[in-house]
Amino acid sequence: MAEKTIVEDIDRSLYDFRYDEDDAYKVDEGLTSAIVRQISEEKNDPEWMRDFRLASLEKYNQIPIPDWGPSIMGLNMNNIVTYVRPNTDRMHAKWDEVPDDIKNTFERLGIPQAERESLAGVGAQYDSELVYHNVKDEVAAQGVIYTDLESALHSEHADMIREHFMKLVPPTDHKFAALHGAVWSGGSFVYVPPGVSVEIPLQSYFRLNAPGAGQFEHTLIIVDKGAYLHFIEGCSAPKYNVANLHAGCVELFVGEDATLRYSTIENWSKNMYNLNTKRARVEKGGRVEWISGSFGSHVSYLYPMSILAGEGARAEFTSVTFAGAGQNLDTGTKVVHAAKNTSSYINTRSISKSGGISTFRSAVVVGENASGSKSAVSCESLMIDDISRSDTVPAMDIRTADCDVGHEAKIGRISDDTVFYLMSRGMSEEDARALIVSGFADNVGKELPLEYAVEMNNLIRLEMKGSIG
Amino acid sequence: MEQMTINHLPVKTWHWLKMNQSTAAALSGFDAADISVELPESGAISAVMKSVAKQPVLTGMGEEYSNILSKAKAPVRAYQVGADAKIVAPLILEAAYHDGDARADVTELLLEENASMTVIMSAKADMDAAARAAWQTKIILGKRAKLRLIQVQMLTDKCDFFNDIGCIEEEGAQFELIQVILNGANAYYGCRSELCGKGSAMNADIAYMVSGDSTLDMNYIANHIGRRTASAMNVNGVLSGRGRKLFRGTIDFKNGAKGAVGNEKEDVLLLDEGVSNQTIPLILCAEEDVVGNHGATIGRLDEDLLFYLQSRGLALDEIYRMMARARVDAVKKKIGNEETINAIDVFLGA
Repeated sequence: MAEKTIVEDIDRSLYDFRYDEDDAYKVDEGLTSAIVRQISEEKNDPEWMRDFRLASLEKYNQIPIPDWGPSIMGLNMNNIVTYVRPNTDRMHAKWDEVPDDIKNTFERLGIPQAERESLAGVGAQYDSELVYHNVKDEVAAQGVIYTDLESALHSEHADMIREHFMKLVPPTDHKFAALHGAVWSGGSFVYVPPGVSVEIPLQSYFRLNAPGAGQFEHTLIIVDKGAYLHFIEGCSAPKYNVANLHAGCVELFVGEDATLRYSTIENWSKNMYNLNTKRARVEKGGRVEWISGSFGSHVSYLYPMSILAGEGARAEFTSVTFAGAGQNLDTGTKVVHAAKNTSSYINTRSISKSGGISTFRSAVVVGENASGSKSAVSCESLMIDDISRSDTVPAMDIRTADCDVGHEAKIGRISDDTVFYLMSRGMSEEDARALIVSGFADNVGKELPLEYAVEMNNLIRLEMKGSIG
Repeated sequence: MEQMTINHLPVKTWHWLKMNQSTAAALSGFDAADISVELPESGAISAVMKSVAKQPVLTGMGEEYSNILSKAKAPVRAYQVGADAKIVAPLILEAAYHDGDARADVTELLLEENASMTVIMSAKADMDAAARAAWQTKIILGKRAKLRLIQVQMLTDKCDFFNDIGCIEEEGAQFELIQVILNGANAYYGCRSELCGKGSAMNADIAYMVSGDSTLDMNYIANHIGRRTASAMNVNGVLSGRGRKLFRGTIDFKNGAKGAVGNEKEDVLLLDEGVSNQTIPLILCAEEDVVGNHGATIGRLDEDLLFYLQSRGLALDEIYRMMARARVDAVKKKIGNEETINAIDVFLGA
């Protein structure tokens, strides 16, 4: 007899554990200029950054809540704590020095093990602060800088940070970009010098432990001319009964003929409002590759954007979104072709199950000066039951005749014939369906390093458990 | 000048794309159009100059447009076809517009159970005439009724044209829509089909040519409500000069529309550097047992095809002209009425 479960019954203990944060430092709930000044003081911001935060707060108060995406009525900023500093007063370069409860958190998530086995460097953020940052000596010897953004802001890289910080995603972009500008904290800064190829990935992992808190980390990556980097971002949180908020910001600058691969497995808990903004600017001959798996969050607004600013620049976006019970995940991408002979390829899959809502939303814009450009978009959606919902909202705006833009979208269900075939080979119906869904999401899995592909397939299997019966 | 908001996308997206809806100068001060009517000889058709629809019909252009027509008391022509009547000859409605005209007309087409009919509507204007013309066609199809609606627009590039359709279909009904859109300074098209009855279907074949400084703004919606309903939208167009076009196409599978199939395809040929093409094809789905597909290709002619045709001695201009005509011809040949086909050929200078 098939095991009958509901999503809430699933053992998510790998991610759903927590520690008391009684001795952590917090600002008051809500968002006021006093709180923003308090965060700024806490961070020892230079004057320009303090002014930037306050100007962003003004923008936040002026910009309306988006009226085109999932409802965020359940998110009350008056109840959100925008800054929580864990019980450690500084960032560490050795795991042994990290406080026990925080270290245990990352141990259980497998981060130190991953660092030893397959990463060139790791940054670990706990609530609002980076608690660990390290880069392998041989990578540092190549001139690669991988540090927390706040240290960089007070170092010899300060001018570089000021030149790039929130220039791609200005606070005027949307309400939650403005919020980020006001209360950002933590995050990483990466600089890869010209011609340097970082052969194994760097990873940042974000853990939000405090209930009712927001995480607003800022990731700034500059990959200089002819360089290569693979950056992996992971995130998780324990589930609480109150809303948590993630409004991070990622800004990627990809130099001439450089390549940056940015991989994310997002597995926030299902009380999370994930209102994240990611954007890349790609220069002549450069290439950005987004690999994205969205599994967690209660509500998501996530659309990594690529601005193809230099001739021959290229963007690839490969993603899978899995919306289960209680989730409304609005994900997709934006590509702006702003130079000649640029190209983009978008390949997405979305799965809706147990009342989950997934929306694929995209925009491909080919500007007047982007002659010779090409774009191909493929989005496929899978409906697992008839209480869920899946929408595709792809937009194309073409302003030059000399281009080639193609788009295809499909929506459907799991084929009964395929399930029958797999069952005839001895699989249970549940395993057969999970296997089909894993195969459907394989566009992302095959682009990830093996360890992460395995994690992604485990997440799919978790979500598919109890899908029949 | 007062504005009206029309052609709303069923679900909104980013405002900066400017695709969620369109605005146009509000319509006012209408007269009835100069329409010649060729009614098939059949006792099964009744024609009256008042609304006879017994239920509200929602349309593609939206409520604001309907309210304006209603407030302006736009004249209504209603054609009702009795049950089981198969009308072979088409009902032909030809509207002619003159310089300075501001005219609005509402047409109701009500086909009872098992009835079938073809309706051909065309819009023409005097040479160089600048006019504003507003149409609205409301359709109710009874069980297994079949309607072919052919609309040809041959106005001048100084005319504003609003063409709005709403259709409700009962079990097994079939609505075939053929539209050829050849000009108009600002042309706005809307179409909404409510596929309520089991096995009802909507099939739209649309060809457009947008040139000069003209604009074409479209909003087509197929709401799949009943089981095993089917929709298909095939849109082929050519943009040249500084022509601008926005196509919104929505296939909406409502919960309960088991076995429904929806297909949407747009093919846009871009000829000149000044053109602007916006396309937003939506698939909305609240039902598991459905199949929905969308495909779009936008750009210049395929390089291999171009090379082949040039190798046969054709000049580039000639190739583009030929390929543009081919898109219209592919839809034109489905019209099945020689006079209408000839009129299109004359308009295009064949």
